[in-house]
Amino acid sequence: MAKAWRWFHQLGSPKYLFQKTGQWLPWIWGATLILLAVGLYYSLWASPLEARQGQGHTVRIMYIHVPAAALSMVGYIAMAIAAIVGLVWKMKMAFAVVRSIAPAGAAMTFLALFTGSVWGKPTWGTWWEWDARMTSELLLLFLYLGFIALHASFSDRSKADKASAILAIVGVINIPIIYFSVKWWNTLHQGYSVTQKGALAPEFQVPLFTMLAGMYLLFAALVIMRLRAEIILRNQKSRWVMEWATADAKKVTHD
Amino acid sequence: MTSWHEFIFMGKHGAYVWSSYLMTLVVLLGLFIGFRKMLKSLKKQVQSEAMLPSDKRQKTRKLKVSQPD
Repeated sequence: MAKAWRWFHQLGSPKYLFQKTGQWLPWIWGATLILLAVGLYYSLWASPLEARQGQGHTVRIMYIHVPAAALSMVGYIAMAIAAIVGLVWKMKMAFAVVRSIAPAGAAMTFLALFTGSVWGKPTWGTWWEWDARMTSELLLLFLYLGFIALHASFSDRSKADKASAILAIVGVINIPIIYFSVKWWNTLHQGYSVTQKGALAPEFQVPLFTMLAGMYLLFAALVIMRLRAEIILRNQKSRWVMEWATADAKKVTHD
Repeated sequence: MTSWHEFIFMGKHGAYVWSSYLMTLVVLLGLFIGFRKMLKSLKKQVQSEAMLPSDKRQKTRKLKVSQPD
């Protein structure tokens, strides 16, 4: 436990976090590319057509729609947790994490909506329907964009962090609404299938779970990239930032 | 999948399937390139300031990001 706490405190140090994420990033990218290569091979080529609902090839949209939708929600929950950590422990790096998740989260939400719409046309005969699942997911996109806009509207960064952290925490109410919408209301969107036993045949599970794993890692990698820029931006007055920036230049002149 | 023809046309649904994958690629690649540029530009700004003689340096550094996110 004490070890875990020390780790938590170390990650609160911008310099340590910047160094560590720099070490992790190549490994995460490597694993991401392998998983996505395998995942795409199965999703686009080696997986069968869907017959029970008569979807045929359009089932392949699921392999990006489901990961994108899952990440749009998981990303928001992560944002809210980091926001609470930031407010409760006054941890500056937690606010940097909150800010860094927002663009990738917004992108995933947009992709979930876009692929859902493109999948809806051949399957349901409509691009869009104001049903509970789609409307609440659209609200999620506005929450992400609202967060970014609110954060940008303050010139004082610590005020921006606090105000937008509150938006992130309050907005998390929308997540169970998205998740349970297919159960609570009559939606055009279909009910649970991924978490429901027997609803998804094994031949669809292989591509879906590989793509889920790959997209989770890709999401993490993008958040970390954004976070590293955020750390530099927030610690521009630190000596170590100057040392980091001039490290390669020195090497060249000394050689 | 039995043929390249089927792979490309996805049994009449090629436009739906491929536009989904293409949009995903474009959006995620866009974020990747954007974030990479952001860190590089920040590094350059710090470097160019480090080149200045110490009396010409500003007391407080003010880095800029070209894009809001």
